[in-house]
Amino acid sequence: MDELLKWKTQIRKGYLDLCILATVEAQGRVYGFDLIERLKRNGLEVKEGTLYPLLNRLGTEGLLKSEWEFRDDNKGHPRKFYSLTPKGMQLFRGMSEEFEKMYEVLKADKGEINDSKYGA
Amino acid sequence: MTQNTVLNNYLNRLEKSLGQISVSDRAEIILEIKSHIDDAQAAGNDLNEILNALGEPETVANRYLLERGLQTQKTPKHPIVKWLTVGFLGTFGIVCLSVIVLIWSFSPLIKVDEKEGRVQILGGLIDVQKKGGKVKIGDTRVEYDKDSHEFKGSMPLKPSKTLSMNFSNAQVQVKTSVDEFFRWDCELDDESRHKPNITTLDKEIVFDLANVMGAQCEVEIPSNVHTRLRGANGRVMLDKPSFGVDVEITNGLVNFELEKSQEYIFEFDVTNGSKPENLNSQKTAKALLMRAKLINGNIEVEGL
Repeated sequence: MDELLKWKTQIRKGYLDLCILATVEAQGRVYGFDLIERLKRNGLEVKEGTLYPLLNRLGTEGLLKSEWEFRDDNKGHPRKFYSLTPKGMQLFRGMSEEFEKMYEVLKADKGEINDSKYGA
Repeated sequence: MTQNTVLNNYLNRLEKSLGQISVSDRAEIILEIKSHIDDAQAAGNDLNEILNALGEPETVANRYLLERGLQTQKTPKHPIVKWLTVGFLGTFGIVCLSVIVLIWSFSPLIKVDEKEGRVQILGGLIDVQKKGGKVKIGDTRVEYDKDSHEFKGSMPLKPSKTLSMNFSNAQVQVKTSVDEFFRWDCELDDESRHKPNITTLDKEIVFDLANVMGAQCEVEIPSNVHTRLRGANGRVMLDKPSFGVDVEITNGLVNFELEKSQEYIFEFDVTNGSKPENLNSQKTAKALLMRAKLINGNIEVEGL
């Protein structure tokens, strides 16, 4: 199973970016803790210590913009909300298309893969 | 530690480890992590669990640096780990060194040379040679040559010990050794079936020639090693002794050759014989006691 683990690590990096962008796109704006909870609910466990640096990078790359929100009652703590920039939106669409294509390839060739010696 | 201290410690460490990132970005990162912790606590999680889930602050900081393509910092080790490592390596080094030195100095552990009839144990610490009857144990050397009946040897001897020599029918020449070794070189009578016997006691070395008939020995004794000689039928020659002497002989001759720079106290007692008259004992702290008791014999003193 070492090979599977290696492959998962390789594919995860790009996949995680896509999932984050997808969640932000779906919600419009989202803050870190909420994002982790949502990803978790959708079956993607991501460590806090990984996610925040990743959000930070997407911000510096100009794909996400952020704003601090101070709650009205002044009792709660501030939260950093992320939303997609036009550049981020463009990239997200491009990435989604690519992913769809890959999935199509996989689906179209599924029969063939099942018949091959590498199949399940 | 209170929850607040734990949290502040964590955030401080994180802030420090973010080193290369600009101050304003650092502040925002800290604020966001703090916000996350507040959210997680509000959701009913324990602070320690939250921090554990985040990971070590240095690891989190390194993730930020990595994502920005900056060089990561080494994760600092707990000081006790550093000291344990230093201590362990130090001790390990010393042990290794000692073992190497021990093995090196005692190697080969045992070496047997059948042709020469020689056995060396612990790198020559004990060395037994059949030819010539030589035996060496540490600093002590003993040689006995059966053909010429020569018995030679040496061993370290400190002034804390007394040397006792017993003899019968022997001639013993005694000198002061230049170092801390007691040496002997004896020629034994052909007819003698016994070898001299050396016994090391707590405060005394006994050099026993009593059963050896007709031995002629030259011995060197280290300074300040008190020397007792007991014998019958023999001659003792003391050549410039730098040690206290106590001789008792029945039938014999005792000859003192004195060292001019040395101070001596004389106690001579002769029954049936002669001893020098008017000897000047110098009763000072440095003076050495020359005691001789003779039955049937002479005491001679030279070098006055």
